[in-house]
Amino acid sequence: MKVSKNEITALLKQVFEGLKFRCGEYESAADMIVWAEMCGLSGLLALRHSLPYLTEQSPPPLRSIHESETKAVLDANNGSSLNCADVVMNLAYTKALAQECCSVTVLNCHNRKLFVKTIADCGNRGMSCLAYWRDAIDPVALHVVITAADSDGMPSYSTYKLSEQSFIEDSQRQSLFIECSTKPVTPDGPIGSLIADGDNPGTNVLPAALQNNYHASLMQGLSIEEDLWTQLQALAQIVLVESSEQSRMGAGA
Amino acid sequence: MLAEHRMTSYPLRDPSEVMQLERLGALHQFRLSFMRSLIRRLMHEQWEIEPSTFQLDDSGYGTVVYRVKATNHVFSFVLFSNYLSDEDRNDRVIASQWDLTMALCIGDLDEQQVEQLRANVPKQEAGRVDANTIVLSRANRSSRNFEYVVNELAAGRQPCSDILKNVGYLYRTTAVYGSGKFGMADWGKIRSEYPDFARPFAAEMFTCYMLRHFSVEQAEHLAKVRSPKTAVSMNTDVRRYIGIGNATGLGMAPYLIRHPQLISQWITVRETAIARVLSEGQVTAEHLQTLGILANKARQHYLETTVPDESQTQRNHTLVDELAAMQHWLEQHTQITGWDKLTAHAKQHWHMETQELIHSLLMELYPDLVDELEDSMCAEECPDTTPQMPLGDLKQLIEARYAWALDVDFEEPDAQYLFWYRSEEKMEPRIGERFSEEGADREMPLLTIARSVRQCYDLLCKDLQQHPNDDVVHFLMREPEMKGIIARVQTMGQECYGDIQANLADRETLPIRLLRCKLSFFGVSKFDPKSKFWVRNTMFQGAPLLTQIGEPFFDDWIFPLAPEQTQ
Repeated sequence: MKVSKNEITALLKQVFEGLKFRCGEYESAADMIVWAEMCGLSGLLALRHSLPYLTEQSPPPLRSIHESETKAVLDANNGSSLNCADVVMNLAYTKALAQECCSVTVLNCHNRKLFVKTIADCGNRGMSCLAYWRDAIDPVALHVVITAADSDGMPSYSTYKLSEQSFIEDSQRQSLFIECSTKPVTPDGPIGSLIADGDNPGTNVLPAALQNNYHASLMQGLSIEEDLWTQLQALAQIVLVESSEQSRMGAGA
Repeated sequence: MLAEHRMTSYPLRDPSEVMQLERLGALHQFRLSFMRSLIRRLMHEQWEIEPSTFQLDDSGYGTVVYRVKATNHVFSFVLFSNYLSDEDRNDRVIASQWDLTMALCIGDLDEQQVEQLRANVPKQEAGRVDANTIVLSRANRSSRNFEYVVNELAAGRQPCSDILKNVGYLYRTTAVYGSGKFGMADWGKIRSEYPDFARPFAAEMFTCYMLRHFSVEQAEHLAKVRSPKTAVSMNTDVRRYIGIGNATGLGMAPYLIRHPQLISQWITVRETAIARVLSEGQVTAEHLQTLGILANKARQHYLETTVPDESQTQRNHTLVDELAAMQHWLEQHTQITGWDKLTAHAKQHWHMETQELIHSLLMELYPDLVDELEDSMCAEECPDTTPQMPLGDLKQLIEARYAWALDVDFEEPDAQYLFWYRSEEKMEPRIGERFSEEGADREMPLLTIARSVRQCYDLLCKDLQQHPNDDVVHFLMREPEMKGIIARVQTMGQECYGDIQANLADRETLPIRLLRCKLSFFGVSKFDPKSKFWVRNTMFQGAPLLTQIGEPFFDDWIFPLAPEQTQ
């Protein structure tokens, strides 16, 4: 079935509110999913996968393991990017603003694909950003997102095949690596080599393609499977208050 | 006064004056109200609107489609008229059947599309439409008025003005949905692709305007069916006096809190228009004379406005009296060179409703200064955190822009007496009493801005003692619960007018003032409060008719007066 951007966003906000996301968090979580879906990045599929793990307990806050002026290592405590992406990117942005560039590593974080909107937002703020992570299911797949400063909010999104001797160790399978800079981010080291390797069987979605997908979704609505829509509507009921004669007295027209 | 704002070089009134809930609840329609802008547009651009399908049976039931050829695109306005028993006629949002249901759609519709709409539009919230639909709405007959008008027309008579003064419409709309609800087109689509309706609520207002047109056509159709030999059409003056009734309840109130940038923009535009008039409006004998005519018309309008609510009746009487006082004052001050002397006098001597009505009147005198602002009513709504802001700056920002919130003593039970929540009945917003009703654990977040600001400020002051040189992002890592309110404060701190300055949890809160504020921007008249939670009002009363498109247009339909009785 088709739904509009506004109604799926409103529904998701209500769902996350019911799941005890914090104020400010549930709005950005909804935006991250809807934006990814509209861009063709399977935001609703990521949501479907994450729903069994989202409980009515507020997730633990991010824990700082190490922090210097240009680096930070954070522990998401096996939480979802839905809860922490905003703060992580705000930290990266703040450090880069002060020091021109910085790197932030997030450990034990799920649903990292949903970080893409916040990475794209960095471009809107005039900051360049590179983020990459190893796929949780397909261990030889590496996801790379690059956004340029003032890029109209659209990054490029690529996946590459890692060698078995990967520069991301197995123990970092749930990690996300971010570089943020006031200058254009030029991937170097292992990431640069991957991107430069013409034989790498990766996929590359350019900003224009994401923009086209987003526009098409805005014009025609978003497709959502009916069972997911029904499940979300049921979850949204949590925030509703049952009616009584007394409650009807507090109603409008 | 604010020294200057990016949108204007004119001195604007201070937010502490303008954003008080009491003043916002005293606003009246004005030149930039959305109904006024819409009518100007379709009159000036000469939209062509004709029925492409008019299939009503002898009881007035059936399907009608109007083809709307606007300047840039073609649209279709579809109406389904169905039987509704008197006992099922309910204006509450929880109703499930209506006399009329309707939709505004993009482009011409084929039979299959009309069938698809027929299967869903009458269900309203329980149906689904697609991104080709812009607005979904429904309306119920004013049973007594409708029958009376049909009978009069059938008998060859015009309806009596005195009756229409009491109820100036044949139908009341009880909900007008847009912005992507139930699968409809998102506002982003309309704004970017359909310039004819790319102003706030333009499509929704147009739907009500078309409903008004249909209501008279249907009444005339039934009159002819009942008595083909004697039936007459409605006179133009009477027809213009027929508006559309509207019942607006609490559902509209959270909108104002959840769209603070948009509301701030609307207020900024209105205040800019006022400031332009006060700064640049030359006072000539002609202007004084026009103001006198308008004031007389307004006084007569409020004299003709009869509502059951005693408090509103008293306020209408006060308006009438104080408008007379204004005219008397002007007769004694014919040499004034600017209107600021009048508004200063009004602020000192007359009620807020009169002060704001005078602003509406003054704006009528200077369309050249005011009307061009009608394209500035949209706002990019993008609440954002400024994570690098030093905590000391955030504290100062709260103290500067939210002093009104810090002034509330939340230790007092009355300051937290109310809570807002969503009922399981169609997710309708409601207000409960915190200390005696269930549901406070599911209070709608962020509607009580004042309390959230207080909590944030207290945490911030404590945190600053340990982290005096820290920034917002590190504070948020320690206090993630504050994310929403900090984004709000930082976003609205950059806006000219900022948040509505009211503690909506206070026991004495009058939600109806929020409704009145929004309805004034819509451009309604004849406020008829039914409780502190909902209000009846009239839309498009006095507005030009569809049949008058192409004729000379005088944008003077504010304060509609009952037509003189003719046969």
